[in-house]
Amino acid sequence: MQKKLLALLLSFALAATLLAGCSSSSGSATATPTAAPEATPTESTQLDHLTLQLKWIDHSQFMGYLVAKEKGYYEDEGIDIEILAGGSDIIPEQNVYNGVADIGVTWVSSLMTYQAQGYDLTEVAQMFQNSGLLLVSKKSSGINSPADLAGKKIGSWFGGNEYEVYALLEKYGLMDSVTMVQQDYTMDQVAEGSIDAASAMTYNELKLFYNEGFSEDEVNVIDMNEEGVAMLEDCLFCTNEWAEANHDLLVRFLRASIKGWKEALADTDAAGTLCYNYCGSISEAHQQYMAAEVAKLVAPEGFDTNKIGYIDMDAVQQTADYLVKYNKDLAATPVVDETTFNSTYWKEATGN
Amino acid sequence: MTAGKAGKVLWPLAVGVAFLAVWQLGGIHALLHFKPFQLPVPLTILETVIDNLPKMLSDTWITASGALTGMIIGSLLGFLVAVIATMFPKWGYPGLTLVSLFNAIPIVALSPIMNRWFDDGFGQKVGVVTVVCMATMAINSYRGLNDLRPFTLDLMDSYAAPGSAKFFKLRLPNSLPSIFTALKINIANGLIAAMISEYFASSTAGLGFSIKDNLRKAMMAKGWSCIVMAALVGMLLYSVLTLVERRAVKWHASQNK
Amino acid sequence: MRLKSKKAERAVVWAVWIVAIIALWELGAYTLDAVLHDPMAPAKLPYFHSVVLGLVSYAGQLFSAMLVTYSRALIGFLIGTAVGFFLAILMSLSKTMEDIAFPYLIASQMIPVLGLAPIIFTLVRDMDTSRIVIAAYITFFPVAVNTLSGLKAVDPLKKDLMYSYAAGTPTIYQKLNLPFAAPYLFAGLKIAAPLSVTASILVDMLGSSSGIGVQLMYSLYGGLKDLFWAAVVMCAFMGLISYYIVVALERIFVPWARRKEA
Repeated sequence: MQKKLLALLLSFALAATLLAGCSSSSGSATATPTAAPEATPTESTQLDHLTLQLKWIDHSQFMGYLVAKEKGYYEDEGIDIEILAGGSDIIPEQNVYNGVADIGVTWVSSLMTYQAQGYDLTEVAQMFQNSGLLLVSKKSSGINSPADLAGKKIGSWFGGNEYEVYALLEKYGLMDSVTMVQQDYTMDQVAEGSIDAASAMTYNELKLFYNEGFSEDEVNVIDMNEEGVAMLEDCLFCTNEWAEANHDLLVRFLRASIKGWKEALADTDAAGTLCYNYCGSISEAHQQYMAAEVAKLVAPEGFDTNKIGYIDMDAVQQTADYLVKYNKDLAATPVVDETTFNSTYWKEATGN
Repeated sequence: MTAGKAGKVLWPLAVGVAFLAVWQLGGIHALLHFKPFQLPVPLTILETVIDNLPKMLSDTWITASGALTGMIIGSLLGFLVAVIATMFPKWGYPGLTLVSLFNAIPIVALSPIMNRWFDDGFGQKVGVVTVVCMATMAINSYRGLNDLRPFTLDLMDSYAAPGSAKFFKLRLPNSLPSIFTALKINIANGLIAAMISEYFASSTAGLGFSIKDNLRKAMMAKGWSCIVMAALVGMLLYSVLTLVERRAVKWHASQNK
Repeated sequence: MRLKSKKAERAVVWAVWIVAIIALWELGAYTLDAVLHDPMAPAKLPYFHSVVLGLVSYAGQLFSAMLVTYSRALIGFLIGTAVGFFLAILMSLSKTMEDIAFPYLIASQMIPVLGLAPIIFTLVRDMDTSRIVIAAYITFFPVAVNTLSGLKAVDPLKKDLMYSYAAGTPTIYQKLNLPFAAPYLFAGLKIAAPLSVTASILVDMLGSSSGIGVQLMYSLYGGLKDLFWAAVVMCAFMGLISYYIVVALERIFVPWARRKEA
């Protein structure tokens, strides 16, 4: 009996080491099962490996990169791209700074809090020109204008997603008369009425709220852009050190990414379908909806699509100003200049 | 005797202090090539805790009280399942297997379900922790209730002892060490479950919320202060539990040196 | 003959349990939906049959996700078990060691993945290995605690007897302590196995694009209640399978723990 037990223990230990060995050797293959069709035998040129860390699960919010990857634009630029999905326990700034990823996608306000702490990170392109954040509520809650938020319960995901809401509340002098509540990943809280207004992105949660059975004329929406309290969201960033050491690679990455974005904007339905095939999230229709809404943020009406990724320093400054005002714990006032928001690489990539 | 008792406190304390010293003097940072802003040092954490003491304490209380309530309810339910499985082996046993199903449902999924059932953060937390703690107690206490010394049951039978005597005089005392084992696991699992559930709770209080909010915003000192508070609560609960254990199961082999 | 009838009896008991649970589930869902008219009924407790329909319609994607999650869970479980076992032996060797290590093991469990992940990522610099390490980190604790309590529960008289035969510590462990602790170890494994599934689901969400965890995220996020509940049931089912694997292993390797069960 004892021998059996010993055998069991030994086999456990052996299996553990074996499996650990297997898993580390087959590492990248399991991470991105879709990345198979690379390395054509005719092309023996070495591709540069580059890892992109997304802010959230992969879906049409990041369609530009997914299109560029699936259409081989990165490969055309000599890049072997690996795209890492985000998640609730993933912090892009940490992963880029730790070297798990080379380039990350995050919100500008979030990037600034890390920069203020001393993280040597720089933004290299601003993908979303407008804010996609909304406050949505049921018509029956009577929130027809921001002033009606007085005395209501408002949802936010927090962790840096609350500043625009605070700016809005301050604008209407409502800071002390509302209750802020954390939202989970669903839109159920506002649907069931446990909160009155919920944070929602134009390209995702708004539609999901409609999907819960509310028609457009049963829903009130407050748009942060219209209220003049918008802060910048999705941007690309990396460490200064990496950017300097990989100047050419970074330019090539931006060129391929922007090509992907341009193509996605030209046909958002196709981009949505591509994203759905890539990630399988929710439904094809939802990914197409998301693609169409994201397109409006990347290139708002009247925006020159040759300028995709342009860093508008005035908008960056406004983001910094709101951040200073509403994050009392900020380590230092954000620096807004070319050391933290560097357009050099983007200019080189686009010829602007 | 007193030397032994002092050693019980002194040894862990000494190791803890040594660890903190290495951490404070940059040993961990050197190992990981970390900058101070990536992982705060102990004195910074202490300073942060003191600077934010009222908030820290209220967050700790919210999380700990929810976790404890859930632990108690969950452990009682788990014990009940084990008792039923023991008393009615034929009909009760599947309950033991089924309760362990709950251990495989992640908190990410439990939290939103509990958010629908309870409209405040406390109820949601208790709900999640209850589910998390049930299986551990059920499996361990069942083993304790049934893994009797050979012939003890036969002895009881030979005295024609009634079922209640068999249960209270034999099975229950025999299960105590296992119950303590389960409680030790539940302290750790219950506390962390309470914290993770706060990531998704409809409230803006508790250690879990603060950890998520601060770590996401690069406020490492604040985030790690909350982690340290949680660790202290865990160690405190463990100490209390071992004290109770020593009194309750003096007779058991595990209490021998 | 007798064995066979016992088996049949067990099957009947299980059938009754399963039917009862389904009936209760349907009744609960019906009460919420049709009696209380709770608008959140599909989120609180959907009908059992609609969950089954969800399972069927998403069977393909859930099944492949399950395999991914399982493979990670298995590795995490094996490493976590090995670590937990090793720690338990260390702590059983000396009471001082236990006094020192135990409180800090509890403290270590208080570090959420959000705080731990950057440290692990920095240490191993590879997402796949990081996921396994984190899954093992979540799994090892119950194994360590249970095995330790088993090792400590050995009758001191028996230990003394072994010493009197001039048996060394390794021999005592091999002949007495470990066999004695085996049922405890397996109790720990029964807790750890479903927990390793949970851990694996959690690390699915650490930048991976596959696994049950990702399905859970998508469905939660997308308000796909039927997929969400199908995934939850899938999680429970995976826990059940892993539980049974441990039970089967116990029957093979620790037959002496079975006597009262049969």
